[in-house]
Amino acid sequence: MINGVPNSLVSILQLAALLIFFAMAVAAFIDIFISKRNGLLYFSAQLTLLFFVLSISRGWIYTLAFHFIFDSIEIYGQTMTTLSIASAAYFVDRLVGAFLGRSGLQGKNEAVPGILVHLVRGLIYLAALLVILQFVFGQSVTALATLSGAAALILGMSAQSTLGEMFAGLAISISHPFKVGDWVQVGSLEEGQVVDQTWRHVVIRTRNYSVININNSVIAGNPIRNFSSPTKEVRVSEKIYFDQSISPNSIQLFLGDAIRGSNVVLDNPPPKILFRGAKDEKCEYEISYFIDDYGNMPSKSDKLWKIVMETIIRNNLGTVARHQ
Amino acid sequence: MPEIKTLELSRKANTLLLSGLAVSATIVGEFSGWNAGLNQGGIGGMLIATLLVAVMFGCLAISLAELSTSMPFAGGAYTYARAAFGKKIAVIVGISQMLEYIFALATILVAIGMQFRVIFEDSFLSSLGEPVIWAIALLFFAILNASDTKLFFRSALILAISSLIVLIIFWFGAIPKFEMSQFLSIKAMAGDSEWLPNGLIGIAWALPFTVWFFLSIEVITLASEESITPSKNIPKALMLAFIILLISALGVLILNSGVAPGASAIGSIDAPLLNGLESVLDGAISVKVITALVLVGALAGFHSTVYAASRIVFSLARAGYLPIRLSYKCGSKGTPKLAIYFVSILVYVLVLVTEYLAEHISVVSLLLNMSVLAAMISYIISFLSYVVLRVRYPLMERPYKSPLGITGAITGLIIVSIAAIFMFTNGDFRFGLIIMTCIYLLFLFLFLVVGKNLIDKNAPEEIFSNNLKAKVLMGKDSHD
Repeated sequence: MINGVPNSLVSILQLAALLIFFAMAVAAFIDIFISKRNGLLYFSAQLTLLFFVLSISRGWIYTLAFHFIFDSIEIYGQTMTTLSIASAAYFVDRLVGAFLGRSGLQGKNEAVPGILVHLVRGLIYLAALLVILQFVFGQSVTALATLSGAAALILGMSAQSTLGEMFAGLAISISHPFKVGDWVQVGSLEEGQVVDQTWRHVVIRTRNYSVININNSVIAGNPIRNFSSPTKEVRVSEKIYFDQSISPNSIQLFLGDAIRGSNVVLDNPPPKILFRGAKDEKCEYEISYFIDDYGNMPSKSDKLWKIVMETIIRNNLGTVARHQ
Repeated sequence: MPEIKTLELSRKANTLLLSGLAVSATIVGEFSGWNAGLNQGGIGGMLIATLLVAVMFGCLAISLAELSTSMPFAGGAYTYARAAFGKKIAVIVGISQMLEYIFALATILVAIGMQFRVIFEDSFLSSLGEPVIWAIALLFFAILNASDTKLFFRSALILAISSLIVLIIFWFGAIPKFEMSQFLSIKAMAGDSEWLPNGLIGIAWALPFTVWFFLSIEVITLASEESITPSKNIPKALMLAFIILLISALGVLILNSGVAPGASAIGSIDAPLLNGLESVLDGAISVKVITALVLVGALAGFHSTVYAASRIVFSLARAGYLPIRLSYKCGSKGTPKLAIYFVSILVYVLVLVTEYLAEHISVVSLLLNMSVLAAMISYIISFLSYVVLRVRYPLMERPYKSPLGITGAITGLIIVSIAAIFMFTNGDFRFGLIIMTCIYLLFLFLFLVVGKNLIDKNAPEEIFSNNLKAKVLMGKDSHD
């Protein structure tokens, strides 16, 4: 090695890699300003590779270019390796973010709960930190784990309820009883649409657009009725009463034709008008039909009942009573 | 008066044939031209510069793959510049492409003439003057190009494979004779290493010479109107050709420098592969046969470069930048015969002038330098076109999308710009640069004064560019 100028095949290849990754990092940096899209992903990937090559080239490049800046080759090596691992962690974070964001967008309407995203991101940076401490600075992770265990105990004692909520939230995320966007009813609480899931609670928006924050532990301890799973199509059944004097066949014929031709309910499975028997001089019928989304239930029901009433009046089917 | 109509090129080329075209057009750069860079950068500088230029051409290949599948027209880089920057820059790029191929043809033809005389030095053919040999070679390849598209592509593939076989024969002979002392025979300056005898700056000086290894790979994009399915064939063909050329470049650089007479001597001679083969075969085969082997590379390059030059002339003529008659249909084979013969005559006149001026200046090396300069300008504008089209027309239909996107194009742009800067500052290139600038200004002047009103709005690239603008005006595709 003469004045740090590369003088072996390995150092020549390292220099080539260095120049290539430097050019690509500059290009990715410019790309951030031009396209404003995914530029950081490329940039972090190039930085990771650049710092990695700078780290493994320390044997010659420190003498050539960096001895003015760093006091020793060890400090230079530690700095470059740390930067490489930190860039790699950032790259993986962006990659996970891009992947999760994309799955939500392409979506099957399935945005990923915030709690899971934060947890994964936290784990990425924690892993990077542990790797840096263990392999760059030679700190024992075992000792750190013991220390963090003690810290966790103290933290756990003082933040018991918060941690309880967090683990309940984690259990919900893994067991996946609902996803963001689903219509659910937790226990006897009002039904609503899941808007978000955080470390502490699940946010549900009810039909009157008020928001209920239900603690994760409450969710975990109550039955959950999901109106959007396994499919979004959901069956609605409503009861209607007619005088006994009206023939059931006429009612089934007129109402069946009107509902099927209404374009309000799904054609498949087809709607049904079922005769359920007579009581107190009234005959009970059940109108059973499927709609595309439980969130649309009130408006669909409203339209359907207008059609039913118009059919009854037009065909002179007598007085009726409704029960849902 | 009989009806004259513009030619429609016939679609006959698949992925393999397109790759053959690119390798055939480029492989001559592995045979000679690159070696002068050894004196600039040493073996380490050349190795690093080759890898950098490989990254640049890799980025160019995937960027052009995207552009050529979006705009599958015969003009290549000129078409993309037309869509991104308008007609004035398109003229510059179109002329650059035309000059790149025509100057390259002239230099290869001179080399073919010299090699031909060596091979047949004892026969009656040696009594033929070089102008006669040039005329025969030009006529032969013009007829081969004009006869039939499929025949052209097949013959280009055969020449490409033959050239690769010559390289492989050399490699197999060179591996057992490789010596580290020959490889590192260039003396280092005081304080520098034997791998980088001129220090780190040597890498930059070597950069323009390594362009030879991949120069003309973009010829595939000129075959867009002749490929069976451009959206599938062109990206695959570009990748395949790039991989073949990368392996060839590294093989030639390492092995040709590692056998006698060694890197130091190889850096100063005209035909490095010829010397390498002589050294490797060690008298087993006569010099004439070895020259014939090396001639294969020149013939491959000549054959495909006639194609490239004729297609860019055809495309420029069809749009009205050159006399539109050059794009007219002539015969039934679907080849631009008039453009091919026009190019052949132009090249012949050029080599005759070269011969006349040879006593005064080194015209061949001047043409060679101008050819590379023209290529660099066309590459720079191609990368810029890619970035502009991606930013300005994000919704433009792109059957193939470059995985590296704008980052890849800018990476290529950085490397090619550095190579171009070091080329422009090199005294050997300066005279060529002045002549090139004069030619550009002349064509731009002619375009602004005469040609501007002759542009045919029905040319495919004109229709495409106008549609792009119309979509933006209608708000269907714009960055904002």
